[in-house]
Amino acid sequence: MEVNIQEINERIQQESAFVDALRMEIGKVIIGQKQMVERLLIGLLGDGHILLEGVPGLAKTTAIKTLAAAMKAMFHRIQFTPDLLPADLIGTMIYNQKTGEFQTKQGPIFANFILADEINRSPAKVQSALLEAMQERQVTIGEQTFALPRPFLVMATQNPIEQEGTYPLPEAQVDRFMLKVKIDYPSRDEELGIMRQQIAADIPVASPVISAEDVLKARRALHTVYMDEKIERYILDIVMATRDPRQFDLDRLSNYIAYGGSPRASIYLAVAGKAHAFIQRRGYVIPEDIRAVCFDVLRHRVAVTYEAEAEEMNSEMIIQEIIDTIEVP
Amino acid sequence: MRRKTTSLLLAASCLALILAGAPATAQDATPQSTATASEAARQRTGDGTAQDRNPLAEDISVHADVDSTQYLIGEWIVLSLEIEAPATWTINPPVTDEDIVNGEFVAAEDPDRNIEGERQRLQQEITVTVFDTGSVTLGTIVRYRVPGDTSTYTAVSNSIDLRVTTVELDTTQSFRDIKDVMDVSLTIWDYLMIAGIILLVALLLWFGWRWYRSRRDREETVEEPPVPELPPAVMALSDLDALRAQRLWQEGRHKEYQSRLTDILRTYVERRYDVPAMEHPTSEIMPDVAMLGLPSDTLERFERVLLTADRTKFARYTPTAKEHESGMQFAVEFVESTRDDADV
Repeated sequence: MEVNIQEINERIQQESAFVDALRMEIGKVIIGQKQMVERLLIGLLGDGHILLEGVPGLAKTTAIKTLAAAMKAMFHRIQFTPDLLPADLIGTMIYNQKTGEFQTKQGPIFANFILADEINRSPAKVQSALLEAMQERQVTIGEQTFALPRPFLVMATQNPIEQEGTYPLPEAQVDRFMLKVKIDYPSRDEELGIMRQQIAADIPVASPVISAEDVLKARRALHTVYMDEKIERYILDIVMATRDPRQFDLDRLSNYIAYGGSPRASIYLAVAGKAHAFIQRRGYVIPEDIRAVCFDVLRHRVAVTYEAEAEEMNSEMIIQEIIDTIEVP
Repeated sequence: MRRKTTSLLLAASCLALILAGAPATAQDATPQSTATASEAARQRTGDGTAQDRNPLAEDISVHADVDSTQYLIGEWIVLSLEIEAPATWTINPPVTDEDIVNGEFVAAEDPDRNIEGERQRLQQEITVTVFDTGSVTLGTIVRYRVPGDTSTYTAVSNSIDLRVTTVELDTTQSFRDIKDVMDVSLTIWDYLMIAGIILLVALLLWFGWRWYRSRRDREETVEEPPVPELPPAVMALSDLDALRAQRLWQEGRHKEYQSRLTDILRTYVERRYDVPAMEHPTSEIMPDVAMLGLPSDTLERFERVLLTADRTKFARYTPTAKEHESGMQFAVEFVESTRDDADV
């Protein structure tokens, strides 16, 4: 099939016009944290979910709340605690004494944007309920199945400190998150801006600039972003190197990797690469797009061995070595 | 009362007469369940030829013999036991203290069994010991079973009279301490053995070292001699010439041409300036190349060539003939202007 890149490029230019407006609107409320905002957009466009890791107070809640406000979408924040039950999340059947019938009471998961705060504080059954809903995009309460609103984006947070009394997400469940984003403290100048903003009389609020329909339309456009075979091979090289580093003259890493990226890694690397190209308002993917999302897609999919931990190697160091070794097409 | 005493004495006299009349070659055999009868029979045996009321007893004979009749207390006594019985019987020679009369069981050798017609003959040496002094009458008990009968019977051997003496103590002497550990000096054979071991170890080490050296030498000879690598500029110019001669873009193979062109340039930059250009995309190569101190015009053209190639490779862009030619021209000029003087 003949691909007209010029046409695709022009279409993407048009469809992605809202990205700048959205960025500006979010930028009014959130100072700094550009990477987090960009990853939120990638998750939103790529129809994936995001696992966010960062210490408290880095505007995680504000970011997703602002995104919801800028989209005029429904936002719910769920604080995960050890005593939370699946029914508290997805909803339950309640007996109505007046009518003598059971009525469905939908839980907070019925929203466009969900902030699952400190997901690792709840036991496995609650995590499973959320992750199942993330995967299926529907929830069954009693005998009835309810589709979740679209777009549906879950941003789960994990605190890298205070691991005592937590329930770390199993690898199979972590794999369901498209991206695992690590956020750090803002720079000195950014923090000055945050401080001034928060002590001012009027704290800025985001106004709706796009609709949920715009996002769904953009998602359809995303599929048309051109990805050359060379880029596909580059993605596969990276993922394969996480599985068998020896194939790529990375013998040193073979003792450090317990297991590499799953086929989901390849799929999400391609989707996230396209989404990155889209928000750069480009109709085709270049190696830079893949490298930009590589860490966020792979860091939770590459498990390191005890030997690696003993050598103070983590998955990011391994990914860095892989992308520094594999030839760019 | 007097009449009663007279009757008892008469009964005892009769029993004594019966026992005294027993022939010397008879044996004793009673079922194990009748222990008192067996015991009585054992007491009756004199020279190993007792007789028993058990009808089976006449078919088995047990004969024990010793080398000497004088032993020290605790000394090992070797009893030569010879048992004769029907071939179908199961014979269990003595194996515990209970099977030795007035002695203690120490060890027994395997019995030597011979079948002669319907009879079997077992010969066995049993080691026993005695811890009583004075006159000791020694005997052994053999257990046996008869086919079709579940009872175990016992047969007692002839008794052997021994004289067991104790060790005389010289009470006139004072007590002496335990002797010191003896110092055994090495003999000439010991020295020879040590020297032999040292020699053997030295020989093994020497052979091991020779084997390692021969292997190493072999590996060294197998290795191909390293091919001297051409200088980066020479190689790049040669590759560019080859690419031009292939006339790829003229045949419509734009993507291949642009890929090869930029690969040559990136390889040259990597080898010439040690910049990881092959592993980095354009946006990451440019900051490194910008630090090489090249003229801004060269940098701009370099970036333009890479970006054109990126668009051709990843966005199906078809460069114009002018873009192809200027790309090649720039590549040649770039290599020639930046080549190391030592490469000339």
